[in-house]
Formats: sequence, C-alpha cells, structure tokens
Amino acid sequence: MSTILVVDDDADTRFMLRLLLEPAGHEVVEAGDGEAALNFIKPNSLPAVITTDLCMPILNGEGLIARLRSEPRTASIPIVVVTASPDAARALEASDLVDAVVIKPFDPHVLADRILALAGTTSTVTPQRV
Amino acid sequence: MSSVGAPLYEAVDSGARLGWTPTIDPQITVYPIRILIIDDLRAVADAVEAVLSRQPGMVVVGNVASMTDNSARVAADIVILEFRHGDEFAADALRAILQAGPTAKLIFLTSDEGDQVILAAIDAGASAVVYLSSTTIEMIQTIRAVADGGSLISPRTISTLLSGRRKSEALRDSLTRRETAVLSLMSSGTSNRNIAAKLGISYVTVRCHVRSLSVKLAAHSQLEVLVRAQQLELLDHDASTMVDCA
Repeated sequence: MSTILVVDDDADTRFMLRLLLEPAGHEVVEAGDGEAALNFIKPNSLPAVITTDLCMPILNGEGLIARLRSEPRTASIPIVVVTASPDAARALEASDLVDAVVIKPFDPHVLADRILALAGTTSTVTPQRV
Repeated sequence: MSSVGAPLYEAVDSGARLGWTPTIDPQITVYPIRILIIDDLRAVADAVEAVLSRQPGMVVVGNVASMTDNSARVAADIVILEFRHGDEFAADALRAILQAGPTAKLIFLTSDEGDQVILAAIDAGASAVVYLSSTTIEMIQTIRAVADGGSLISPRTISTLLSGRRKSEALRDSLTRRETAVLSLMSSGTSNRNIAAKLGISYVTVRCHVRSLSVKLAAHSQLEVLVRAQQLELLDHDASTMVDCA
C-alpha cells in the first residue's frame, strides 16, 4: 500500500479524494496547508504522490512545490496540482516542476485517475470491499 | 450483510418496486441497506455514492442536493445528511427522516468536529456523526453499525454534552439584559467608553457591568470574559437585539 498526500485547505475536497483513492488500496494522508504537508514528510515515509491546491494559508502550493523540489529526497515525488487559475496552470506546466495540472472545476474521477496513474494504479473502478 | 430495520412488508414492497431480489434465507429475508445521500456539494455526494454503491449489502436509493428535491422522496434505511453549522439542520433532518420513512436512521456528515455538532445531531435524533476526516472504512462501518440498530453517540457523551449545555444555559439566564448588551458590544471590539456612549450609560457603570461579568464567568480580565463567553456560547445572539433590549 502506498501513501498519497492530499494537500488542500478545503475539507470537502480532501474527503472526496480520500473516498476516491482509498478504495484503490492507497493510504491517504491529509494536510490543510503546505507547512503541514512538509511536517508530514519524514525521511523514511515519503508519499508516492502529492496532490496540492495552490491557494492555501501559511504555505501555499507554489511554496510547497519549491520546497519539495529543492530537497533531494523529495525532488522526485510526483506532484499533481489543482488550481482554479488557467494562467498558473500554464506556468506550472511550462516550468516542468509538476507532473500533472488539473484545473478547477474538475471531474473528481479524472483527478483521481491522474493521481492513481502516477501512484502506479490504473483505475478507481476496482473497489475495495469493506 | 445487515438486515433492514423496516417492517418486512414495507421492505418487500419497496424492494420489489425497485427491482431488488432478496437474499433467500430460511429464517429471514434480507435486503440491502437503502441509503439516501443529501449533500449540496455534488462532487462529495457523488464520491460517497461511488464508494457506497460498490459495497456489498448497500444500495444508494437517492443522491440529492436538498430535501426539496422530489427525488428525495424515496424510502431509505439510512439518510446521510451533510451538516454545516448554521444550516437549518434540524428542519432538514426532520424532513429527511419523515420523507425517508419512519424507520430511517440519520447520520450527519460534517467537517466540524466540535461539540456543537454532536449536540445538533442529538437534537435531530441522529444515530451517528461521520467526520470528513474519517477514512472510507470508518464511514462504511458506521453505516453498517447504524443500520444494525446501533448508535455511535454514546450515552455518556450525550449526558456530558447535555449537562454542559444546561450549565451554559443557566449561566446565560443569570446575566442581566444590560450585562448581555455590554458583553455583546465587548465581543465586537467596542471600547468601554464607546459602550457607555452606545448604551447611554456612564463609563463607571460599564466598568461595573464588566466586573459583574468577570465574577459570573469566573474570569480575571476582559479578554478572559470574552474567551469564557465564547466557550460557553453566550455570544450567539444577535447583537442589535441585545442592545435594543438593554
């Protein structure tokens, strides 16, 4: 089971992604801002994928991405960005700092599938029965 | 698989209408847990439906933004109602239960992990509260437990919270109208001199009311008065009403 770190200040979005990602067999860890996300990342527990919003308190998405890419141990973690700004999306895609950009409003399944593909899981279709 | 709480004839009737085939058992007839989701955030509601509709023994019979939606008029065993503090939750919850059937059980879905949500859930007759920080497995287990007749709000929690609310209400009742008005203006950041001007009383009298508030709320400073008042939820009233009734 790999870990996916969901960074977003909106609890509804975090919950929605958790519901879509956990049934595919991943552990989902949540952070409400970039600083909390960095606190989660320990030397021996790197997430398989990080998905992050851009507009967040304390440390925003751009700040988080910059910090992650500047650290050798986190530099290669796949990052999926969710943003409402097409300009920010274009800039990030051009920067090559992130692995995927999804523009709000988004289809939750499309976002989940992007994340799962980067985590090495192909689809959310296979349910985990509880 | 959980047994349905509704009387058998109702379950057979609604099951047949919706085309479900009951599990054949020599002792009992078992139908899936029928779930109605009420959440105006459609992406969240759809994600909940996607997960629940794939669980054995569960079927989502409705997924609506509000109880005003006609498609919410469907028999259900479990109603999952998204709760946000300040919503007309009690009215919504009551409508949800009445429309879903007399045996429907209510689960609150909320991001608010404060005691007020538990109290609201108790008031609305809900059987459980699922927080948005819950895992998928926790949510599913809660639904199964409630469908099996359980309540995930323990009697001890209910007792503690209701006792706390009674104390808070008693304290609120002990405040005079003028103290309440002063407290309200303090909470909006008004200085004592401006409170005096607004209420048409002297500065010394305002200080007197503040001292009285400090004693009643067991506070040692004006800031602590506000903190205690907030903790005891004494600041929920409309400020203008408080001033007018002074």
